[in-house]
Order: sequence, then C-alpha cells, then structure tokens
Amino acid sequence: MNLRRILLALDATAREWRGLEELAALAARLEAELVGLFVEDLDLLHAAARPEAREIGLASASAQVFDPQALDRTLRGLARRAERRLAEVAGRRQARWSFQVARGRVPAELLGAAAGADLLVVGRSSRRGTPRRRLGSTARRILAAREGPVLLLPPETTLQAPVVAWIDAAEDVPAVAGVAGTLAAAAESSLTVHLAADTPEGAAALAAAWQEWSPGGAPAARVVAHGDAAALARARRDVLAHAGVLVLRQGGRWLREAGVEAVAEAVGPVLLVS
Amino acid sequence: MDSAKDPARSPHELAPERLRHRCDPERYEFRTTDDLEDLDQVLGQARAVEALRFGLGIKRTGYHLFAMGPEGSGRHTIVQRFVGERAGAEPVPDDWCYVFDFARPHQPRALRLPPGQGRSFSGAMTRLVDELRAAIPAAFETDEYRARRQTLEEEFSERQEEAIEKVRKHAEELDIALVRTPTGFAFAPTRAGETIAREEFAKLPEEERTSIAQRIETLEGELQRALLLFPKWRREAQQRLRELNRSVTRMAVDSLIDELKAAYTALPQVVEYLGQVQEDVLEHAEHFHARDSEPQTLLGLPLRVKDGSESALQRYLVNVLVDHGASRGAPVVYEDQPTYDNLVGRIDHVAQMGALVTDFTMVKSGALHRANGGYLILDLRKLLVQPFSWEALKRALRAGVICTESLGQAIGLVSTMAMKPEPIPLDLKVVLVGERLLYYLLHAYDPDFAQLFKVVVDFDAEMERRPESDALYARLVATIVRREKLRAFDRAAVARVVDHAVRLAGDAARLSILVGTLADLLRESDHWAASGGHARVGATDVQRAIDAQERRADRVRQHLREEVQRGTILIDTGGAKVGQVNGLSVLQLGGYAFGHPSRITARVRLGSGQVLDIEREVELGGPVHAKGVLILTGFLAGRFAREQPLALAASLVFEQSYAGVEGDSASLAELCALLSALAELPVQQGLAVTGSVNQLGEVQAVGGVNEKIEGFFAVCRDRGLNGEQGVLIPKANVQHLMLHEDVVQAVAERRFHVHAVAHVDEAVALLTGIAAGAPDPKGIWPEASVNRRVADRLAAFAAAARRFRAAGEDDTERKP
Repeated sequence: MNLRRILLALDATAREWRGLEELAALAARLEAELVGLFVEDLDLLHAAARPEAREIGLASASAQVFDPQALDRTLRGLARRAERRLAEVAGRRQARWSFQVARGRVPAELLGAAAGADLLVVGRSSRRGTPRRRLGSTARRILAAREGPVLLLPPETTLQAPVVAWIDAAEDVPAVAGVAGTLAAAAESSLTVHLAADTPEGAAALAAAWQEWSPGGAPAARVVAHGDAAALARARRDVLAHAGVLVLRQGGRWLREAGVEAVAEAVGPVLLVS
Repeated sequence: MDSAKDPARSPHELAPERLRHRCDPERYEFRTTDDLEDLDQVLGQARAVEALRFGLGIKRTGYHLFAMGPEGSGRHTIVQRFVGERAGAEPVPDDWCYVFDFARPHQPRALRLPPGQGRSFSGAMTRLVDELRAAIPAAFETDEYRARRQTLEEEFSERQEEAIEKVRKHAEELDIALVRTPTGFAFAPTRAGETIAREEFAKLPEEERTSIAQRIETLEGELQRALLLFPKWRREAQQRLRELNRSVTRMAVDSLIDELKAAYTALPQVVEYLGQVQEDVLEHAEHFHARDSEPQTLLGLPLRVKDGSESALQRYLVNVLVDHGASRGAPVVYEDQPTYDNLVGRIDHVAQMGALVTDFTMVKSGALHRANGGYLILDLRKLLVQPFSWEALKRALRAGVICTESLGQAIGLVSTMAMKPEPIPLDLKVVLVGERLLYYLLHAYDPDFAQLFKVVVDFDAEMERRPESDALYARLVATIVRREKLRAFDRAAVARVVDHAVRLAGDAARLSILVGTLADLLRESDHWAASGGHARVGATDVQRAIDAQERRADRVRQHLREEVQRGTILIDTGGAKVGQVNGLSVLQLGGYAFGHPSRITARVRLGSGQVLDIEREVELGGPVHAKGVLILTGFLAGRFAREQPLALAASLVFEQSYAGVEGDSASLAELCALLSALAELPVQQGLAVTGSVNQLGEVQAVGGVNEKIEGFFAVCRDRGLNGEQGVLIPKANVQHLMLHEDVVQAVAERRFHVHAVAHVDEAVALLTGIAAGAPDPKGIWPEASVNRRVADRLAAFAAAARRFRAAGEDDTERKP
C-alpha cells in the first residue's frame, strides 16, 4: 500500500493531537505529504447568523451573545493555530505539508478532500463534549461514506507499538495485513497479526490465507490464531486495551457484529481499512 | 655589721640547702620510667574528682557540671575519662526519628524507638513504600477495577449525554439543530434537516422568525438547566470513584501495613503513626502510580522534582535523627564547634527555582540530640564565642526539650511560615569546661547559670608535696612517657622534672600538676635526647629542654639585662647611697615570668605628714601599691610620732618605671628607702629587697620570690659577683624557695646571699650595717641606732614645724 497523501481533519472543536508528532514522522519516512484541512463548520456559522443568536457555555451554562464576527475571528484564529502547529511539527520531522481552509459541512468537506488522499485522519472524540469513549457524528458519517482507509486518532494518544492487525476473513488478509505491514515498517514497530475465528476450521482457513500471503508480506509478524468464541472475545478485549495501533476491516465481521461504535472502546488509534 | 664578710652567716642569711628543695634521684628505686606502672589515679585533684563523682551521680534538674581550672590542668582528659567510665555502665538511650505529621504537615512528629530500631523502622517504611508502589498500581490494573471504573465513567457520561440528547431531540422536533461551538453549544433553525443560512433566515416571515426565536429561547433554557446539573453529577461521580479507589487501595494497603503494625505492637506510638499512614495512603493512592516521564517545568525550566511521585512519597519515609544501633552504653559527645546549629540541630533546605524548600527528612541532629540520655561535654569559651549558642543551650536545659529551629525563627527575625519539628524531650548531663574567670563572671552576671550548673569541679594547678608525692609524680611522668611514646626517662631526669614542677608551683612544698605543661617538657626533653643520640632521656636533656624553653621566651629579660649593663637603666650593685634601695619586681609576659630590679628612691623634707607616692600621682600605680605606701605613713606615725606631729613630707618613686606598678611587694623596700633618707644613712646597693610591710613593721610574704632573687642575681653576675651582694626576702617566703642551681651554687660559695627578714628593723640593719635599735622602757631609742636617727630627724621636723607655725601665728596677729 502506498501512502502519498495523508489528510488531517481539523475543525473548530478538534483538540490538539498528541499523535501529530508520530504522524509527521511517519509521513516523513513514507515521503508522504501531510495535508491539514481546517473546516469552518457551516452549521456553526448558521447558528451565529441570527441577530439574537446566543451561545450556552458548556462549563458555565451561561448564555452569551453569539456574534458572527467574533466567531469568524475565533475560527480564523483556530485555523492559524492549527497551521502553525502543523508547520512546526512537520518542519521538525522534515515532512512535506500543506494546509487548507474550507467552509462547509464538516463530513462533506472532509470526504470531498479525502477523495484524493491515501489516508484520512480524523479525531475520535465525540463532538458532544462528553468524556465518553464513543464516535462523534462526523466520524460516524465519514466511516459510513469513506472508501479508503481512515485513521481514528484519539487526541490524547500517540501512534505507538505494537501495530496489531485484526483479520477475521480470509479475503481481508491482503488489505488489512498490507496496511498494517506498511504502518509497522514505517513506524519501526512490531506487528502482531490476529487470525480471528470462532471455530478451529475458521482459524485454519485464515491461517492458510495468511500463509499464502505472508511469504512476501510481513515475515517478521507475530501471528496469533483464535479458534473458539471465548478466545475471540478475550482477544478483542485485549487488543482494544493494548494495541498501539489497531488495524481492522471496516466492514469486517467484528464491526458487523458489534457495530462501528466498538472501535471507540480502543485505548489507542484505530485504522479502518475499507 | 657586714655579715657577708663574716665567715659565720648572719642569723638572717639562708644556707644553700634552704634555697632549693631538690628531689633526690637516689630516693627513687627505679632505674627508668620503664620500671614504673601507669598512674591509676588522678594526681592532686581530689577535690575535683570528688565533685565530678557527685555531679555525674546526682540525677536532679540543674545539676550540670562546670569543670574549671587553669589551662593544661587536664580538665578535658579527666572529665572525659570519668564521664566515659560512667557512661559505659549506663543503658543505651532510645533512638529518635522524625516522621511526617499528617495532621500538621509543618510540624514533623518525633518518634521514640528502642536503641537500634530507628534504622530498622526506617528500612521497613522504605520497603513498605516500594511494596505499595508495586501493589497499588497492580490493584488498579485489574480487569475488575477497570470494569468498575469504566462503568462509573459511563454512567456519568451517559447521564450527560442523555441530558444533551434530550435537548437535541426536542430541538429536532422543533426544527432546531443543536450545534457544538468551540466553547459550548448554540441553536440554529433548520429546514429539511439542514441549518438555514443568514440570507434565508432573513427572508422568513416575521412571525416565523419570532416563533423560531421563542423555540430557541425555550431550548436554551432547557439546555442551561441540563448543563447546570453537570457539576453535581461530576461531583457524585468523582465521589463514587474515590470510594472505589479507596476500596481498591485498601485491599493492597491493609495487609502490608497491618503486617508492619504487628511487628511494632509493643510501641503504641509507632502503631498509631502506622494507622495514620494507612489512612493517608488511602487518601493519596494516586501518588503511588508511576507518572509519565515528561519532566515538570516552570516557565520552560525543568523543575528539580524527583522522578515519578517520589517526592510525594517522601512523606512516608523516616528520618532517623539519632541512631544508637551501634552504641555501647550512654553516649558521650564532645562538640568541638558548638555553633547554634551544631547544638540544637538544623533544618537543611534545597534550592528550587530560586526558592528554598525543606521537609522533615532534612532535619539534622545536633550535639544535644546525639548526647540525649548521656553526656555532653563543651568548652565554655568556644560556646560563648558562637552567637546564640549559650542561650540555646540554656533554653534547652531549662525547658527540658530540644527545639530544632532556624536561628532566624529562634530570635524572631523570620516571620514566614516555617517547619517546626516537634520538640524532643531532653535528659542529659552537660559538663562545661572553662576558665575560672568565666565561671565567676557568669555566676555574677547570668542568673540562669547558677540554677543550671550547680556542681563546680575545680581543678587545681598544684598539689601538696608530701613524701610519697615524688614517687607518684614519677609514675605520672612514666604514664605520659608511655602514652606519648617517648624515650624512657632515667631517675635523674625524673628528679629534674619534679624539681621543675616544684619551681612551676612557685613553692617548695608544692608540685605543679599542669599536665599539659609537664607533657610539653617531656616531649621536648625527648627531642633533645634524640638530637643528642641518647637512648634514654637524662637530666641533662631535661635541663636542656628547660633552658631552651626559657631561652625562647627571654628576649625581653635579656634586653632589660643588657640595658642595665649599658647603664641605660640605672641599677647600682655596689657601694652605698642614702634614700635609694633596689626593689624587685616580676614581669609576666605570656607564659613566662622573670624578675628584674628597680631603683626605688625616697626624698624627705619638712611637711605635713604625707608620703607622696609619685606612681600614684601620675596614675602609674595601682590601688594595692598605693595602699602599701599609705601603710608606710601609718608605720612612721605609729612608731615615731605618737606624741608629736609627723611633720614630714616624703616622696617615693620607682625610677625609670614607665609602665604601671601594682602590688605591695615593694613596700618594704620603700620603707627602707624612706628610713634611710630620714636617718641619712646610706643603704648597701649590693642588696635588693622584696616584701610587703604592715603598719607594725612586720614583713609579709610576696609572690614570685624565686624569679625576683634570680633577676637580681643575674644583674649582679653580669657585673661580677663581689661576695657582698644578695637579696632580702620575707621570712614567710623561705618555704617557697626553689632557686636556680646557679644561685644556690653562688650562695654555697658565699659569693651571693639570701637573707630572710621578719621585721623592717632587721632589713634596715642589714641594708645600713647599723642596728635598728629597740626603745628602752621610756621609749628612748639607743644612741646611733637607725631608729634614733630617724626619731631625732622627725623630732627636728616637728620642732621646725612648730616654729614655723608660731611665726605664722605672730604674723597673723600683727597684720590687722
């Protein structure tokens, strides 16, 4: 898999990403371009458009005048800050970078811009301002519509070892293992491959598919095979808690069974391969 | 009568054997000091030893000791020996530790543990912290804890989300979108699920815009009410999380601390402390979780904080202030530098970002802590020269506790909040070692002193010389010789040392017991023996050491003798002169004293009965000297002018004296000069006089008699002894004679004489060669006697005075 263009979704509510450093280092190593996209949320602008519009503070619960000009200034300031941060980190890591500002509805803008990108990186925090580990509406919409790989990056985490590939269908081996292998090699991380089946037969089929693919793929990987439902459940809990980066198929069995919200339980970043 | 020319000695002249009370080496049975055993008693300090035993034995408040005496009397050695012996038989006191006081963080708590257990308790607490650092994070790593915590968090999150969701749904029903802003929420009107742009909104009919505004206002109210509940829910969630953390921590903590409590059940204070530790660990379990390695900074500068939560965990450590694990018996501490901090301990600080910070682990012990339960020996002079040390010692002894605080706090100069460790009960015996003068000054001027230091241990510089003393002294010499690893002294050398000790005492019946001075002499004698290639130290080596000591110190004496020889200082040592007598004085320079003659002259004339002390008039004479001169007037008036006025004016002076004159040891010489002047009889200048005199003419003892005799002898010898020269001394001083061998030899050869006189008449007779004379029953002095001549002269003065007075009265009557 080639990663030449990595699109970072930035908006007014995105907190600063701790993982930006590793992302920039990864981009530098892959010689990819980091493209920062700051979207000025149209809904937000519309909310401020009414003459008597007010903003309710999350912490204070008090109502303040929601001034569109002040909002414009705030958005410009946030965009400048995001650009400075990207420039600083990319410069330090010697990664190519660019920065764009768009105005529109966030999912649509991101998906539009991501059409030309090999990887889309979005924040994973909920936009509702609550601490719960769940996907925000933007992430949900993107996952529903995006064709290519999406990296869900919690703001407080970094990209770190081990890269864990979760494969639960034989046909997913090339896509999932390919991305995970590329990521692990670029990040100089160990790679653990989980061949996840709930029956011994299923496990054997996955192993065969892996064997078929792996000789030229990721020879250094540690392979763990699961062949019963209990082991599978334990392994899912384990990778959610300990994977440095979890790579799995977006439409794969796990997410079909548990729903896409299951990835929100992961402690670290999750890379969803379509 | 010229007794010097008489082959028979005059009744007053002393035979050579009375001039020096030699220690006879033949009386010793040993050959060298190697044959002698060490001296197992303190020589000549019975009073001090008795006081020491009493002072160390009595266990009452205020009975601290003051060991005083001259430098070199062995005060330190003897005190340390006795204190050491006593302390060795006493129990080892408890250890003291400081621990964190969880209720009062600025007041470290003092813990008392049996000897040696302070260190082990400290080790146990360090191990406990290490174990807790492993056990507590492990307890929080369990799936059970994670699941319970997650449940709590999710309950809280869901509660909030549901509240927001409720508002959002209600908003959707009202065609309003809830939009997240950078800092909160806002509402926007929608159409077909999409928010409406400004232009579109402006085109809406007024009624609809109003309706939207009302709906939004309602929703804002709902949202605000929901948001206002968030802090309460958060507090509830945090409280439940704390309880969860506490129960998880308790599982990890209780077994470890209970185990430790069981080991210290005999020490309720420790068990209580461990209970507080237990509670504190439960409250602050977060300190035991390893933190990220990201360094803490302030304004971009790294903070000097120990890794992880180590600084927070310091509060569970134990600062062992006093460790008696290796002690045998009660402690004996000698503090050579008794600064304030060295006495009461100090609180160290470390610099952090320009501020000085401290904690209970930085409390350091002082001498009082280390000596607590035992003995503290201090040199008073060193103590007094250290600012505030004396006051700190007294405060601690009065209060019976050691308060470790900075000097600034102690004297009230610092008002900032500072750490104040709990005072530690103090129970010890202090022995101050110092000079007598300091004792008397403190006694007079410091009211606390007498209350605190009730036991005086008075060390003597001398001891009585009894028949057995010389033998004991020889053993003292042998003890020092062995201790100092010197060559053995043969018995002649020991005898010479004893002679010198007698001389240092200034009394033939006493021995100097200044052990320091004695040890110096022994070391120097050994040096001269070594340079002479002698295997043993002999009497010549000792003599050489004594001579060398004198030689090193006698520059001024030599200079004065040269000035006498050159005639710059006028001293006659031959012939006879009226009204002129050689007096003798002693000069003390540093540790060296020597005698030197001074010319005393007297002039008389008709006057009103006053003897003028010129030294006194020019303020060069001290009060004792002035008293001596006034006594002369009393003597003259009592003897010669009982029934007539003393019509005399006399002046007395120490010639060529440019410094102060003090003491009355020249009063005999002054009286002799006065009588010579009155009688107009010349005084033999080959004789010098020392002694004080009372109103009855009796001669009294004076100090420094040996040095004085030797001083005049040296001047005479420089000019050549003519057989007529000598010194008159008080009879009471004969017992003090321990003269240099040269003088004794000269006396034995009758080239020099030492006369002992008991009355001024004896002195006058010796000086003038004419009998003083005794009055007959009618009070008439014999013809041609000195006293007759004096009486006649005074009678003539009285008659002349009467004549003058009568003539004066006639003149007065005629004048009107």
